[in-house]
Amino acid sequence: MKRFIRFSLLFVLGACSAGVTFAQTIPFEEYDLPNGLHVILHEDHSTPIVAVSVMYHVGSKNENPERTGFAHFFEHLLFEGSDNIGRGEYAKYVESAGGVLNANTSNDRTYYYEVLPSNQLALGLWLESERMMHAKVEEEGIETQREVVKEERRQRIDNQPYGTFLQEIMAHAFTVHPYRWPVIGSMEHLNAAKEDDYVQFYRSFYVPNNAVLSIAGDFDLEETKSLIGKYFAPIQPSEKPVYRPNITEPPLKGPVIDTIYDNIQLPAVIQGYRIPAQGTPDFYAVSMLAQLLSQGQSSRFYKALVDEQQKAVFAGSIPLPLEDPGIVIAYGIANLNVSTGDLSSAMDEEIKKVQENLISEDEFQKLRNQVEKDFISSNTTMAQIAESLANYYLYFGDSNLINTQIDQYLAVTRQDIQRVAQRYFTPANRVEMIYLPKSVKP
Amino acid sequence: MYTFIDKKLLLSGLIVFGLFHGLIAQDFRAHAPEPGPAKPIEIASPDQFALDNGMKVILVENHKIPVVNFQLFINRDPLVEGEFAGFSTMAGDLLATGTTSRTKAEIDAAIDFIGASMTTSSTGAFGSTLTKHADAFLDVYSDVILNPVFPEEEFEKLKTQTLSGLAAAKAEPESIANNVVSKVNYGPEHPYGEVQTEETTKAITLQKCKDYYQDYFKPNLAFLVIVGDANHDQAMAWAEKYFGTWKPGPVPRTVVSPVPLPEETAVRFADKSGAVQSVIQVTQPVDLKPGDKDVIAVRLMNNILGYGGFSGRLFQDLREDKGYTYGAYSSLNSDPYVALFNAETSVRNEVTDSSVEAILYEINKIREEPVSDKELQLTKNITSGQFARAMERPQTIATFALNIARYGLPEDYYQTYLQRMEAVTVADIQRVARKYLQPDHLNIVVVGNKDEVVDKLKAFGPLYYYDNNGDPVQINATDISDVTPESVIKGYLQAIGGESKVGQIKNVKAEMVAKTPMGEISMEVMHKDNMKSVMKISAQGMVVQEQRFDGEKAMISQMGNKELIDDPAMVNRFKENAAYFEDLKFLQDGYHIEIKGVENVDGIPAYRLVVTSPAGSISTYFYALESKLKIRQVQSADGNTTNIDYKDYEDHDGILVPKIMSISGSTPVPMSFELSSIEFNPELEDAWFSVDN
Repeated sequence: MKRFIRFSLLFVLGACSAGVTFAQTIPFEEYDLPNGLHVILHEDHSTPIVAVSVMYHVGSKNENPERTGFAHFFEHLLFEGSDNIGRGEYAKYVESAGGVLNANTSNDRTYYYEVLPSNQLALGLWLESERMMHAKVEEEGIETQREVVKEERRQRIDNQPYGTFLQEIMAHAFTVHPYRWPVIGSMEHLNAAKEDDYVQFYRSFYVPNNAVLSIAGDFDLEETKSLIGKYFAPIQPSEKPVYRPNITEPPLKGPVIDTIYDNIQLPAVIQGYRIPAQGTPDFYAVSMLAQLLSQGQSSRFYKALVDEQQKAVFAGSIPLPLEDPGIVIAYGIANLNVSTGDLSSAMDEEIKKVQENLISEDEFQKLRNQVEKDFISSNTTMAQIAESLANYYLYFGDSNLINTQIDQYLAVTRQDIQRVAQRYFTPANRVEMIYLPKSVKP
Repeated sequence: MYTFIDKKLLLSGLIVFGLFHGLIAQDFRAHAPEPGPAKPIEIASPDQFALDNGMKVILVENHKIPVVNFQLFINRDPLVEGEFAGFSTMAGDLLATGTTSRTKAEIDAAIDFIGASMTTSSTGAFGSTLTKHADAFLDVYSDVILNPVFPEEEFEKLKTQTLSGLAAAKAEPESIANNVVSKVNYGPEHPYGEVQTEETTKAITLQKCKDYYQDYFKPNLAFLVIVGDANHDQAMAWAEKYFGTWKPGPVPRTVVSPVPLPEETAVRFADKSGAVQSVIQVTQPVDLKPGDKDVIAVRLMNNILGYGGFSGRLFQDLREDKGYTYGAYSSLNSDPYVALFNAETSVRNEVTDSSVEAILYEINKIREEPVSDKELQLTKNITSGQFARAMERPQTIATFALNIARYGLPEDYYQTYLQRMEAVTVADIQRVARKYLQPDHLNIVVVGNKDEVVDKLKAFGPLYYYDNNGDPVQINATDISDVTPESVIKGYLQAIGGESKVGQIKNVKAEMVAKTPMGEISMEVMHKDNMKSVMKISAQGMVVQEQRFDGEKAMISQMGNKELIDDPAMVNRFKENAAYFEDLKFLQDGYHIEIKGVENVDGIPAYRLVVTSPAGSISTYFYALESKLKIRQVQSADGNTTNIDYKDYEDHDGILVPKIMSISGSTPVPMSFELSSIEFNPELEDAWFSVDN
């Protein structure tokens, strides 16, 4: 639970890139139970362990704007126990079996998993089915976890230099879409919520027809299928369709600029440009553009801003892989005596170069080679494979992207990279957060 | 009838069956399912060989994906770097910044082009590449290890970056805590007790880095660990081709003295004004070497106390039962020189003392009470689970082989590990807890908001103060019963020229210059009628920041972006700072002054005065006992602390003014301003203070 949620880093997840010559094959089998639960199974006997996971298609974007932070709160609450699991026992079962467990929440989905010795597969299925069937959503657990979440907020956001950057940039980039509030949500909302609010949220979203059960590791296929039937088939689907917001964010009439005073020593420039949703051709092109700017020491931002001009101590660019249209972030932490204005212009200058000049064949080949290495390296452990399979199915309805997503990257051309730089990296489409030390706040 | 009975029987049978079925359904859910038969955990033996020059090679084959990783490890003794602390780290970072045949840009381009990654450090280099690019990779990788040239320009760049990094770390309470933990547990003379600071970094020379490389980068100290998609012949050929010409030679050795236990349990406190959480690390140096017969029992004992999951007693107690924290854990790993026990957590201010108490309680409990059989079994399961999961990564096998070679462990040490773990008893756990955890010799390190948390910590032992670098801050027990805050301020005013003389100063204009690694910065301040002020900071001839206060309104401009201040609290702060000699005001109505004792500031005993303005803003000032001069000012706002040190007072028109003013905390690196001119009561135009233009 040390690394419990990692919503601030979650955007790295879907950023696994593509390959070229190596035909990767991660075999799997998948099917639906009658209650709507989607099951994905990947068998691998090299180590006697098994990863059991459930991904629910609920994240902060499914929340009521007056009750934000629920999805993340449930990430904590659903460890509190069930009809058959005593309070605080959930983790003990896993750890006494020699396993580990954790969970994380993003704007779009919540993920729970256990990695167990493979002879404990049934335990993992029992635990996850209990969580889905009749978790304990009661006052005592709610109270404890409220305190824990507040400490988490203090530790990971309030007490962390630049810890608020993601929530600030999303709050400025979105005005109507639920991406405008942070995944960890509002402590006031959590305080104000009644037990019944929590119960309703549980019944609406933590249901088999809104979940993917993904298992990877050392197991027997037929035996596992029968166990899955035994534990999950009796769970009732929700009666009402699952709420999925259909909210279109109007174009940003930027540029939007704001200053944040934080407990930091070095000022920072953090820019967000609105981009299409993950899985679209332009998203892949933007990913490769971000890679051009910031992957490796020969990348444009690193070379120009950190190494040559020494305007930044760090600089980079990351697209957030979101289900609805989201943003790509470009950031730089200013070096000593470099003004944020100066750094911001230097970042713009690098983007302008991409907009004005087609990148060289050589540099383009570098991006493709990096994509290949990253794609091949991204799914080696059972935990990674279980999560990737679930992600690909839940977002795109295509688990086999674990083997083929590389083709989407390979389809990107040099012209595409230039085009997306011109199309999305514009002043009107940008929010810029200037982080300054609180000490200079007059 | 018959049919009826039959039907009825059938019906009741169905009901019974249904109920029964329901019961079974209930029943299988009521308890956790039993595990299947446990599968053995297989630990492969890696392939090992050596080159003629003494370099040892460890190969772990794994052909799941076409990727191969290389780790070159220099197995040297720990170093004492003293006043140059950090030079080995810098030398390691410089390896990949230029070789006899490649510039940094060429190295970066070559590694990135093949999609590989490479990092270098003081004890070697790590890299990962697709197998098909392995030769291209090794060509560059071996080049940075064998032929680095340590370019002067890259050295200067790295120094600046390191200083920025150190500055950023100052804002992090965890890194302050780590500095204190290192210094108080190992002592500043021990290799593990060294802390790299701005000062030691500035002292490092390029020659130090080159010498370090020449001394230690020898094949006779080196291991090349190859993990992944490669076989024996290939590994052998790569090692010979890329490292075969490397020349062996003698290497310096370090004698590391043993570390004594702390004499007493004491609280070691570092102030982080404005913090909303306290970082707590309850620590102790421990003598536990790799391969010691107690290592496995100690690992189990530590897992019971502070396992990094949910089950540890610290986590259960501080998080799940009390809700004090997001996490609480402990660690105690063997080390060939000196190990460290550390129980750590971050908690909100109000529960800082309760959390220390809870940690001490758990330490005592594991010593005094035998753990239950069930808890021991749980922890054994956790530990063997950790072991099994680690086997998923082929790197684990390589690490095992490296440990066996480095620490002279028996060849079957890891093969028999789980077997030996099963043999550990409840009595063993208590025995090692009593042997290795000494509650009367703990360093309780806390970094937090002094004014809110420190008083209640005195219950745990004597209290010592430390600065951000882990160096002691002296707080004296001087008798101050007959000293009043007013007398301290009057004493200061007397010392600088007398209250009446200072009182006649209405206008002041001063200029200061600071030399920084990035060039000169100048600061100009003007004060008019003790109620208007201007401050301008310029770098490279450009005004980068300007603040003005016209007596009523305030503005701040950054790089020409002007912002009018509308927050009344901020405007008020300008008002409070509008006079050059602000201390005069402290004696006026509405100000509250309090003496908080005597502390050493850079070795000079000084009164600590806490001044609260009529509007409620709080600042701390230090006035030297002997000279009466003001030597430090500390301002905290919103969790950020600024230190201003005043030094080398000199006479200007009969008034003593500090020649040196050093600002730290709020600036990326400490900046030392030297006074270049000061004028008293010059003519100053109102327009210069206007916020409207």
